[in-house]
Amino acid sequence: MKPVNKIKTLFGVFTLLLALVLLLSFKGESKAQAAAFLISPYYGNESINQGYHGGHPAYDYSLTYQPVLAAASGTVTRVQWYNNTPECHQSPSNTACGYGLHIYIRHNNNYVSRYAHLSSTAFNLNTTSAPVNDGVVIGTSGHTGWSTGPHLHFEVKDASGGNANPYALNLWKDGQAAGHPLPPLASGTEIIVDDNTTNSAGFSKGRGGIFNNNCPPNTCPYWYHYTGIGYGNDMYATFVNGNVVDYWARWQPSLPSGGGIYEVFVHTPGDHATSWQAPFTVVHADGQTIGRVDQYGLFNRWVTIGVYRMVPGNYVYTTDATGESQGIHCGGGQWCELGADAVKFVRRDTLYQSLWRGNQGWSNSVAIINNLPQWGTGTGWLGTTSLDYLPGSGALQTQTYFVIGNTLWQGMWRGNQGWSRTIPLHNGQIRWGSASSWSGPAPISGLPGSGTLQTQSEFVVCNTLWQALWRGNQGWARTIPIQGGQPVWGSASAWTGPISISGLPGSGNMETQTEFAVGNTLWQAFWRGGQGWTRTVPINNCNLNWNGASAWTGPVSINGLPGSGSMQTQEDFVIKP
Amino acid sequence: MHTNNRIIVRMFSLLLLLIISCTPNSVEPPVTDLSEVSFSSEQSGTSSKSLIRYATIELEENGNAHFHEPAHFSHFELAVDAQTNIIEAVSITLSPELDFIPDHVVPSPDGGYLVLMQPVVPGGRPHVFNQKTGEVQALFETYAGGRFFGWHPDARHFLFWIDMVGLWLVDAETGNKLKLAEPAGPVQGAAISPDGQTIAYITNDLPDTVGALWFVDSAGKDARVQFDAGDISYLYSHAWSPDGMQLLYYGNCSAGSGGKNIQVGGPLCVFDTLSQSSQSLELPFVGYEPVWSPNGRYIAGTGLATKTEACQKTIILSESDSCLYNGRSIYLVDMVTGETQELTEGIAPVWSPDGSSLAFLSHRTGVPEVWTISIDGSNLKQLTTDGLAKSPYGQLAWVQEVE
Repeated sequence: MKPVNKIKTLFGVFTLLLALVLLLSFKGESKAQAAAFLISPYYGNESINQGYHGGHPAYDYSLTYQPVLAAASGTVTRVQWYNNTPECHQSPSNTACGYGLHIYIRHNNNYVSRYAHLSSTAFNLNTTSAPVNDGVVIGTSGHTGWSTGPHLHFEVKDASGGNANPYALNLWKDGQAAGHPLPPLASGTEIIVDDNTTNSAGFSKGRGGIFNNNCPPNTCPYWYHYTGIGYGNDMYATFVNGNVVDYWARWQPSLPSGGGIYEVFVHTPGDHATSWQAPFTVVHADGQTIGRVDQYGLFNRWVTIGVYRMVPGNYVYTTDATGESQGIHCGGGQWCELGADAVKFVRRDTLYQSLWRGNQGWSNSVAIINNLPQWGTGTGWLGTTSLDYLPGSGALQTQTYFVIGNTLWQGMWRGNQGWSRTIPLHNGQIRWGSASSWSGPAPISGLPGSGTLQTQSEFVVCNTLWQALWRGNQGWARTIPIQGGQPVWGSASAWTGPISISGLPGSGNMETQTEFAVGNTLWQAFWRGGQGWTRTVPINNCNLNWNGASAWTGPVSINGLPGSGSMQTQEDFVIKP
Repeated sequence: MHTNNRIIVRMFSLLLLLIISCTPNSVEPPVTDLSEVSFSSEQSGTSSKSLIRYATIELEENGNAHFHEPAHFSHFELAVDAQTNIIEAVSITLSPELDFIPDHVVPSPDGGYLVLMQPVVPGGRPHVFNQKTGEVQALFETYAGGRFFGWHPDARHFLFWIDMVGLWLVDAETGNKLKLAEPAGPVQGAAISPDGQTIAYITNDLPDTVGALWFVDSAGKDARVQFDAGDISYLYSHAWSPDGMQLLYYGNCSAGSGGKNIQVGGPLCVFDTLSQSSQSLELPFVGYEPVWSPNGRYIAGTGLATKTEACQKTIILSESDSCLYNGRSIYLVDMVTGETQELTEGIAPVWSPDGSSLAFLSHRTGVPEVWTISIDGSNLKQLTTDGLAKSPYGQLAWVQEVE
């Protein structure tokens, strides 16, 4: 809870009244599938190079080896090459080559989205049942199969397998199918592990089975070393070996304590890498996942094989067991080559979530890719934290976080007394151990309204800190300018309100509210009566476009959350690397 | 080569009169039980001439093609005698009312129908032209494109597959469809047996078996797995030997040997349905459909000369079709002696109806052209000379003229 000082009204009352329709929506793990179910990580009309018509019941987006994201939650039911014959790696004229390397996702309404001509996948070949959430990275676009140039072929089939025009049927739930350009990929801190001749700096290779027989220079006869090619001007290559693991290579990054969420990229050189389906296994904090890379179709490119939570000790490895034998894919009785070059680990923005139920705390972290939370890639709810670690006494009423620069601001209320502190951020890591002391308590009498404090929330948009609170089912809001990385409390606007809870969906008392801003979108959620609601609000040039807010989605049952008891508080905030 | 640009007579004449009203098939015709239909593969009235059919595309100087520009496509037919001398060369003019240019035109064995394949991702949409009525019927209009897997020997039905919709036997006369199977995975090729009774196809409908080769009868019954053709496998549409006893496939030749996914030779294999075992062919296969000779003694295919690099990646990515011919040759496997010989440079061979010659595509003059050669390596002939303006591509067809 931040000190409440006398403030000036900085914004029109009308604006703030609209702002009071902030709903904290806890982002539940499942979303109801309505008629509109697709989201738009794609890519705007200006990026379409062939639209939907009778001879082409799909959209072609002019992507050039860029990440491909799932358009809606569902189950991955297909990861395969459309045609295995050697002549069908890529052809502009041979229609038999079809989709090339492709992925199908079956959604909860039994529609199927198809992603074709890929160059890498974040799932193993022949995957038939893998859950995936919308916006998650599923692979990299490419130029495989029947393709005249690099692009993403995006197709939707209805529940009967018939053609469906996603735009015409208005299946895009965020209404942004048209004119919604792909946001620039947020840059994150990168760790590149490159091959080397000394089995050092995180790279190692060997033979005779997985991680057997590390080979220092010149002791692995069939790891061929090539210079003048590849990332760092060298690479290794070996011949594929069907389904038998013999030769291997491993890339282990030096990750900071606590790890983080990383997108993993693999580099393919321009030669000596001709496997159509090189396997790269990511050993991450939540298990192992195999991605596949079409090395034959890549020339000095990085491609993604997915986003993972990784902690120190995690790594990526490949083996010569690509599934390809002599004469398969590469033709002419020859063996394809598996290239081992460099692997890159890119730290991604992380959405942190915390909640309290029954005086026990839980936390979750979720990657953000292309300004979309990658629901399902998170740690999963981790808990529990006891209330004993927090200052004050009494039941926890609310907790709040917001980030300004390299500082995480944390506040909480319990027993109608407020406390706050700051925690430094470093390279995307929260330095809990370096947190300031809690300051407080601040009395609730400094807040507008009456009754018990039900919830307080804060979020930052550009240079403005927004605050909202609910007491006695009445809402209040104000803004505080940010200068020099600090809220200027003395210049805070007056509290605007009260707003009645009757304007919100659902029923029951307000329990908690949360927001977070990612890119040009403010995500809002609230819980009342044990049910959660969410919506998004566009941000235009640092202004919140309340009129353009999406409809409220919900309700989501609290049963999907960990713990037991009533919802006390939930808060989300984004940490950039 | 002088080409007769008149609108041709014979079986293609009615193409000029194509009724491209293209009655939409918005309602699926009823499924037909074909179990009581007798199939006949007899042909009558053959002449001494045979016909080589091919499609062409206009190429740029650098070898790039305008595949999205219909005006640059053409279809041709060469009538040749027994010595592969050209008797007549005809440009097939499709009616301008046809609102697409087919990338494949596949006549039925007796010429009574044409399947015109409209390119629709991921494959094509079939339009059936009935020579007797002059009508064109579009099929599977509400679905993604599929794959044409060959005519039934009865010259009336054909095999067609659409991913996630099914593998069908389609009646060209009525448009009725019989679903033979509905595989969950992509069908890696399918082929109808010479007697029309059995359809073979590869898919991954079994747990832990990605490349299962299945048989199903022409009534869509008695589906049964034959063997594991390998995780990476394919069945071309002319896979059956003429006597129907063997299957040619691309994949793992350990089939029938109990060696699950233990690669034995390959990647071209011949499965014997009697002994239930496979043998590996010593043909350095590099793609394009391998084909049985009409008498079943030989298999012709496209191979890559030893130690020849298939293609530089830079070329693949920028001008992929320019790499189609590099180091490729026509190979002949004698199934009696086991001998394999390299005949001549080229790709995608097809047999003459009498089995004495092969037609193929070659780039030896600097541009793709149609060539023929006798199976003893003699009588090498260049049949087309249109160069970049009309560059042959795709699979040729060589059929006996039916009078």
